Amino acid sequence: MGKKSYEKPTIIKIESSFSKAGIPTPKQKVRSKIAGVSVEELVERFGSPLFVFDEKDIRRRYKRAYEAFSSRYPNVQFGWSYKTNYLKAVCAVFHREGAIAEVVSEFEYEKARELGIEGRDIIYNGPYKPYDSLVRAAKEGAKIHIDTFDEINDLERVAGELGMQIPVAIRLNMDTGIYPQWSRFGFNIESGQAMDAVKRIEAGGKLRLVGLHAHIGTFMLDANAYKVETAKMVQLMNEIETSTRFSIEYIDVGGGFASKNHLRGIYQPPEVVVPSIDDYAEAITSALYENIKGNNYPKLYLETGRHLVDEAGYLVTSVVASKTLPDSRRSYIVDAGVNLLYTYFWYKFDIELARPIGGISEPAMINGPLCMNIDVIDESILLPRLKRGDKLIISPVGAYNVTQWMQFIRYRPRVLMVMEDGSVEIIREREELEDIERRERLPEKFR
Amino acid sequence: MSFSDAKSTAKRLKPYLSSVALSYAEILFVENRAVGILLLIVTFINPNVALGALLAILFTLLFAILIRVEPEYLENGFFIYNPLLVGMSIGFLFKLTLMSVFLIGVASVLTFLITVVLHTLLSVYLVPILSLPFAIVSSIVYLAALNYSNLFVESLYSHSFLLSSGLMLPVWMETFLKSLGTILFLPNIWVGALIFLLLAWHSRIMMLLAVGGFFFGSFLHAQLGGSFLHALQNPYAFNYILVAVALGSIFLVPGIRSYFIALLGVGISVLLVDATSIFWTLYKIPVFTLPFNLTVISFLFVLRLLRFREFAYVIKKSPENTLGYYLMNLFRFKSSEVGIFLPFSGRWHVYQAFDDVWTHRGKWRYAYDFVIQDDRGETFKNEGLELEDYYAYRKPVLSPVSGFVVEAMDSLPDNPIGEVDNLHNWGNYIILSSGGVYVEISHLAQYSLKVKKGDYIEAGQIVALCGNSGYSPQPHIHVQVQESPYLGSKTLPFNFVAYLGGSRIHFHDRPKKGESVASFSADKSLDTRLSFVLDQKCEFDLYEEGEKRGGMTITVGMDRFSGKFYFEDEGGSRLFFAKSYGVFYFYDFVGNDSSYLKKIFVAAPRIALIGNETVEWEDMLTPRILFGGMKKSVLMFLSSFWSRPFLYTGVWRKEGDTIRGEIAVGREKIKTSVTIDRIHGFGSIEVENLTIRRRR
Repeated sequence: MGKKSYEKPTIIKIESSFSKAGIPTPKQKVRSKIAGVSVEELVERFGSPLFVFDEKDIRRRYKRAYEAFSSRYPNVQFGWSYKTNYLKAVCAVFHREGAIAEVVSEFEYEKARELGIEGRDIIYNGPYKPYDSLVRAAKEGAKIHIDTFDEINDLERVAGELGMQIPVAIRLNMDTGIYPQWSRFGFNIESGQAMDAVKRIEAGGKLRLVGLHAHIGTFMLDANAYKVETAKMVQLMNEIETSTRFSIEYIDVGGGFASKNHLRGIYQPPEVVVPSIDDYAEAITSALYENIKGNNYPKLYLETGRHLVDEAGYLVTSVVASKTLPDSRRSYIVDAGVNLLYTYFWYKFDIELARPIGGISEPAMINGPLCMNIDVIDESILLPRLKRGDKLIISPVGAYNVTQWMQFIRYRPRVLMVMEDGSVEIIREREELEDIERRERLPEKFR
Repeated sequence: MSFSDAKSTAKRLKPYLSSVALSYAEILFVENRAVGILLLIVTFINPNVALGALLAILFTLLFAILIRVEPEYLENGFFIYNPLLVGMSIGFLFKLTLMSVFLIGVASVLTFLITVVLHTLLSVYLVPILSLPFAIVSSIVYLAALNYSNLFVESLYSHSFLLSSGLMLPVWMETFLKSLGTILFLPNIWVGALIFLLLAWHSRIMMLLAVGGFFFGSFLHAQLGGSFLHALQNPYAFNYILVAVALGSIFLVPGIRSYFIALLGVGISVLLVDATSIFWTLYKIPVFTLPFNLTVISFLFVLRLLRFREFAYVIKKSPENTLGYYLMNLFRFKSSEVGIFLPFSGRWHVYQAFDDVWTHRGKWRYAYDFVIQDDRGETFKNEGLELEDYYAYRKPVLSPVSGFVVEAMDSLPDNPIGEVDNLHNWGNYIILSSGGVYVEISHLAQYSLKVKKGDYIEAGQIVALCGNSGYSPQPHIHVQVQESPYLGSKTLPFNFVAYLGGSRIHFHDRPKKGESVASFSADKSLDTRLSFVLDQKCEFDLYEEGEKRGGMTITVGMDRFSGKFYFEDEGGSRLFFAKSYGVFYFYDFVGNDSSYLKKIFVAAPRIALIGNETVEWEDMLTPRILFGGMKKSVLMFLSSFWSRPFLYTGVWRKEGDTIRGEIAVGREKIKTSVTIDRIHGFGSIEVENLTIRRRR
């Protein structure tokens, strides 16, 4: 490396106001481009509001996560958590990268099949799996994860009906030292319920236990909880393999890895509190190595959703009106509301301007277009004076919003994907009246 | 004696009888009972020779029982072979009288003793004793017999009745056939012709070597001696045949190099025949097989020491089979060098390969360095100024072999980026022993060892974490195979047993510098489904062009000597399979050409037990597996001269549970398909228009 040549420093005036505590707030946050495409141009071409996904970024995140695990453990498989974001294009990107599908309902199961995913590449989770869907999943060789004793009964009936032995996994819950403990799903390890379920399955003789599954929570900020989880699962696997004739082929540690989103009620920024994917990988794989006997490595499944997609999704919205509130705050009304931002209830989003705007920043509030008091996207933010038509970019919004959004009183907007080559594709059209009324029936006498 | 008694006696005797038959066949290096029995019958042309041999066997067995030799050892039969020859040689010289029978008794016991002594001595060097005991004892008997004038008077007889055939054959043919017959102490044209036909039927390679050996030896002899006729009529010319066959096709794998050695051997035996005959004739002893034994044993002794690549470590029923097995091992499993597994998980990048520019030079030229790269081509994130920025840093190092930890240390610190430790080049290291070689891994992270000296570990188990100790500019894994357990000893070439480069699986290959490779381990589901338990039976239906053609039952069996597993069909044909560390493969077939097991071999010679990804791989088949009948024989014969054109490469592609293959045979392509059943074993197997489907 050559010596760096001397560069004359430039002095720039820090544009800042002061917060109540007298600490300078950061300068204006500007995002003029998403995945290299100008925000202004996107709005011009496709209207406002817009959800925008960045294909390159999704792939990069997936590769990074896969590498973090596969470089530590030789047998890793990611399952794309459909409920996090089941837009076809988004799922397709993950499937192209090598992820299988993780679904939690017959609806998601059908979506995965519709996308061309074979039964054997679908993990079927969830506390309620309708009987017919179990029959289909068993026939198609899906990985069925049993949640309750009732489901064992159902599946044995299916096995009898189909005249085949069905490979299954059971979902587990356990104390991993975190609160709240998700104990309503699956069978508890500490109470012995899990082992009872295994023995019940063995006694039935119609199902073959091949996997163990757990999902300890969501937005987990403690990587160590996964270490405890994995260790307990492997120990149970060892117990099962010595005391029954089952051989455990895979361990599914679920998902719940946090994204770099700012949780409400947590003071530090996500960069400080959110563990890296390497931290999660280290916790899980070291627990595997410490507890597995010899090189009897089961396949490790991961159902990471949020971590892979949240930061690759943006919502572009435009100011449609503004006013001064009685407490002298500015209120900006924008064209996207909390009906589109389900995760608003947990997160304080990053809100950026599409271009730098002059003038001092002042306290402001961002309101959505719903005529409801709760439609507040940000209660207190410092913004320069915005005009009608100015754009705001809200992020990260890639996870859960486009699955849990509500149509309510407005049409849901277009969803775009900026492709790897920089081109832009519409991956979901803006809704129209017909979409919403198609399912309605007006009784004859009202016509 | 009741019938059942007789039956049980017959059952007890069966192994002995079978080993006697095999010993006869063994004289011609043929492993076939029927051939042995045929030869036994043929010897009755001269009843003295025949009975002499049988008596020798009987005496040997009785002696073995007298000294309480384990019956299992007796069944083995290798020690019957020499007394058998001694019995023949005595019967050849003397008529059977009380005295000659006594002589046979004494001589066969002596042969047995010498056989055991020589075998014990030579087996240390893994070299066969051939008929050396016979050559020694027969010489002793003939030498001693000079004093037994009584015996001579009563028992010496003429063989003239055997020598004439009544046919007017050209001299070269007559002498050749007689020479062949002499191997059985029957210098008769008809016997020679029979032996020739047997060889031709059994192995074209042996036949060719027999002819080539005889005439090449006689030619040399004629050049040296001046008379062709004399050379051809040399009674010991059969030694040339034996040397040529033994070196060219039995103990060495048939091939150009082996053929050349065989000719050299014949040349040497010409010398030995002449030298010994002068000396031996002085005392009226025939030369017997001494030149053959001296030549072949000396060659094998040296070649074995050199670990000669074409040494036939596995001798099959015929040279063609030995060759097929050898080629299969050489090209499919790179049997000529050590194979290890990748020492890590996931996708890594070759930073230095063999004979590389920086440190892989001189006696440490056979080594690999691996790092992890991102899609920018960098091995680090951020600025790369901290160890933690490097992707490889503190990633698990997995054992590349199954074996014992012979040395390990992890007390050296990980150098900060920009510094290297010149004092301890190797850094923290571990040395593992496996199958006679040693595997060394360097630059481990400080205090990261997960195993200790003396531990036995399986390939794929975690041993430590990747670090930056020793002479290491950035965190990486260095791996080498070396000849001794000491740090810094001379390295040996090796390959990686299986790895993924992109979606192509490479077996026993070496990635080039700059390539990225990924390890894989067996998918437990596939592994369980392709686990076969002894005595397990699977039934299949056979279809040709969609029409049902019957069925077959396959039983899983284990060879009681080698412990190797095989599938056996109703016809007794066997298809040998193995499964190790993520790969299921077939490696040998013994039996009938028409067996459908052969088709199973062709359909999927090797299956990577890799889970979900779509992968493909190359494999090779020999004519022995791909064809049957005459075509197989001719092609195997030709491939002994040059194997490459007769190895058929195919590409197999695995998608989920289905493996589809395409084997290029000339311009044609053989299409195959195998489905692994969702519960266990194979669901269906297709080769061209044949379908073998599991019966439910």
